[in-house]
Amino acid sequence: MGKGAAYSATDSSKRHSARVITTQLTIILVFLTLWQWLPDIHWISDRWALLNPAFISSPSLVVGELGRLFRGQGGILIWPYLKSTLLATLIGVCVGLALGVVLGVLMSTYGFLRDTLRPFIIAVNSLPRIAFIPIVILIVGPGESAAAISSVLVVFFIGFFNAFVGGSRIPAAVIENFGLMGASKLQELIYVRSAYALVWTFAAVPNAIAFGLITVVTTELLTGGAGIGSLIIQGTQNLDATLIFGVVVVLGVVGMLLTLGAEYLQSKVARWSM
Amino acid sequence: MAMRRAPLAAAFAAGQERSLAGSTSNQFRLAIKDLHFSYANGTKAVDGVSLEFRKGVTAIVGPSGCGKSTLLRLIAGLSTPTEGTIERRFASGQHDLAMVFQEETLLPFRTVRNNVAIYHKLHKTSKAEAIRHVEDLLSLVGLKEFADVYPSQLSGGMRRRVAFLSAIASTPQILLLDEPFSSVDEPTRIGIHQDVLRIVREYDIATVLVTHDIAEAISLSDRIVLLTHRPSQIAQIFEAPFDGHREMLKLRESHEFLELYGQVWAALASQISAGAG
Repeated sequence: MGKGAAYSATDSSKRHSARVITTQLTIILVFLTLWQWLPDIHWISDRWALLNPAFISSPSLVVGELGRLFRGQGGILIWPYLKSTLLATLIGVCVGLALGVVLGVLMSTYGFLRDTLRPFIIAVNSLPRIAFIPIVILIVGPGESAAAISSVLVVFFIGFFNAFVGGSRIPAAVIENFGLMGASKLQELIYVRSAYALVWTFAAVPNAIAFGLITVVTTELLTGGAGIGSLIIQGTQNLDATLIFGVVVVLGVVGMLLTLGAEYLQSKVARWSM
Repeated sequence: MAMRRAPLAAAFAAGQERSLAGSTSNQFRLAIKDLHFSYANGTKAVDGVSLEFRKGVTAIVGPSGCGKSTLLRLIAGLSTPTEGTIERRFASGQHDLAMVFQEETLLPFRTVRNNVAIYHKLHKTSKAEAIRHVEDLLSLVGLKEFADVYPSQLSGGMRRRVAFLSAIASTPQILLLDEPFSSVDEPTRIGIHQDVLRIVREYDIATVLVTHDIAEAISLSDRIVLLTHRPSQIAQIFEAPFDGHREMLKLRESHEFLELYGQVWAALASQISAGAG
């Protein structure tokens, strides 16, 4: 009876997964089919400018463009651009999160620091951080470092707020229990606050990657100097929708792979939550 | 029972040695004198409680909201009395006080083993000694095979046992229990009572238990202190007529238990009525 129930639960779960994957594939297929063929139906594309092939290209053209980008045919090899964007994103995510976690943990631990810095943090957080990008470009110039520094600025706040909330929401009894065990403030910071803060920060890594990548590409769009963003500018200047869509697909895949990687690491590190 | 004595002795050998080397147990003293406490909003919670605690288990019961847990927090030093004194004198060379809270205090990202080992980690006990002590402690309550799982993978009763072990890993001179088993079902709770009583008795840990469960108070303690409705004062003190080796499952059927239960219940009921009036 018990085994039967277990088998039935597994079968039901497998059926569910199969249905989900089939539906996902169908959605992709329908989307690509419509994208490919709708612009060819003139009475539709004539009515909606959005469906003009000059604006939206087509899946077959984008696939061809991707092939050329990765082989360096057509004068553009994507790898150096990709490397530049990825490097700036990784620096932004790692440095931004690390700095954010340190300040978040310190502020959640020390009341004086929390009360003193709180209004400044609220003020800076309420500013649109993307507005810092031109200032960063002015200071460090339109190179790769501008993209990395801008990304650090944006990701920092994600790391900070998660670490601060994680460090602040520890049940009072946990902290009191540590005190009764004879823990010093430093030990409380290391064994309790940092650990809780890191747990919360880990949960925010996929978000940090997404925001880090967006900021890097935005900076590259503004500077046009290096990275994937400059390819988008190139596509815009040449009215080359196929190149823009090709680059967007690459960015989407890169973002997805980084997020999946972060989630994998999360599942390995945070085994306790399973 | 006999089989469990050996690991118990091993588990506390280090603590006993420290205690004997440092000083004698008669240096221990915990007494509160004319203790008053009011909350920040002016509500008076404790109104002149005086009591000298002794080795063994003292249970504190009283109407809901009468200030039992507040009294325990005052003893622990987690709150400061408005008036009165708390005399805490401990033998040197041994941890003074530990507490098992009503709330979860286990760190969810540390395994059972690492939660129990926290005290040793904080006090930089040698790794070999810490491992041995933690293993012995886990054996005491039958949790050795769960050493490497996380708290979220344990039942409520097991988590409470781990919280208890985590507290006594310091081999404290006073153990404060703040309704630690209230969230556990009755049969599991009785099993935990048996383990707790055996361990605090054999290691001679002075224990103060706050509970709303009269049966739990009588089962575990040597004396039961009944508080009045808020602001709390001592209404009555009952002595439990049982020795240290109690069979928890049989105890509740005994005439003495039922008689004491009736007495405590009647006194508590009159306090509840007085509070309602």
